[in-house]
Amino acid sequence: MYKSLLTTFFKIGLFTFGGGYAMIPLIEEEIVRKKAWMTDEEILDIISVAQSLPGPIAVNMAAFIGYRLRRLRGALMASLGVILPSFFIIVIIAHLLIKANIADKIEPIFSGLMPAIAVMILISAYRLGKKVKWSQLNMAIFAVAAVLLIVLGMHPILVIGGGIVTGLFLNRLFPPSASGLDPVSKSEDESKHDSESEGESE
Amino acid sequence: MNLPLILQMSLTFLKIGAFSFGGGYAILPVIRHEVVGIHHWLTDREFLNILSISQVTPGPVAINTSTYVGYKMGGLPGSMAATIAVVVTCITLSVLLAGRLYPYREHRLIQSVFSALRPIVIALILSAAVSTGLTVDWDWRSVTIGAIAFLLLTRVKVRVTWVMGISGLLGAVFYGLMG
Repeated sequence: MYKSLLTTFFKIGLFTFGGGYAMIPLIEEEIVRKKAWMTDEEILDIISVAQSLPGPIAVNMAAFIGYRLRRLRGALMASLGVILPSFFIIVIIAHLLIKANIADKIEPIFSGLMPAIAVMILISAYRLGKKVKWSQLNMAIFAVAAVLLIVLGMHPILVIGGGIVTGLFLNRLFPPSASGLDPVSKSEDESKHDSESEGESE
Repeated sequence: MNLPLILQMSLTFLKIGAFSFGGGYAILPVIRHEVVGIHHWLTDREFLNILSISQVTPGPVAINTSTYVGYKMGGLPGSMAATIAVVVTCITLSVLLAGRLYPYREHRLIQSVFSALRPIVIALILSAAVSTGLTVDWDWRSVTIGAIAFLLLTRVKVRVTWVMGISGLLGAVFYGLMG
């Protein structure tokens, strides 16, 4: 089973081009349909959690699935499997670029890739941005973060830390139980009002 | 083998791994700030080259960058240390979450933190686009390539790998053969 986890996730890692979301169809194919280790519903739950954790989504998902199947060793095997293909490939490329010094020869290719990447990232910001609920509060948070990052060049970790503090602060400011403030968020809060006592996850 | 350097690199990538919320492009400003800005392990140009490479190779950009920087600064041991450092936080958290914290994911405290982080993730991606755009030398060649990439991605909707292949080819023609 451990070996099978390693090889399955090696295969998934090898074919995950272009970010963690690209691996979702592969995981469904391998884990749900071929191996029948998990159901589609379980995979969907895991995706939603993996997205909200720090770190590459691909690794989060591998560790999560591995743990659910075979505890700690399963998590380590699956993570190792998903990381190894890109590790080997980058070591080879790094060796070629640095030690064999072919960087100058392929420089024109990189010059062509760069404007394409700038455009790609911009499109990605727009696409993901459409999924955010743009309330006035969210627009204000976005504006402040954008100015801090782009204009003032502040360290991104400080901005993320500020975001976490803001989230905690806003939770205190608008406790769902007392909120007649925002009818939209109120109905959302009611749907998940199985809230435990507040201190538990702190 | 330069042990202090490998240790310093591992700590830096530990930090990068722990704060890379949002995945994908949102991580770029964090990596750039640390690796290019603070430690000068890579030049701006090199960083963008790795970004390009990671678009056409499998694996997350955070892992690709850590492996590359680790190899450049500390050979094979360096690349292993940096790669492990960048993933150790997320593996630990996944294991904890898969085991114990999973039922708390709907907790409203956690929800409010995530909802505050969402617009920030968009700002991070935008700042990655701006800083990449500022590194490009914008003349007719780069504008042409950028425009073609834009059309391919938004109108034709081809896969990213294809866009990279085509713009790399255009780069070889514009900057190599004609340049």
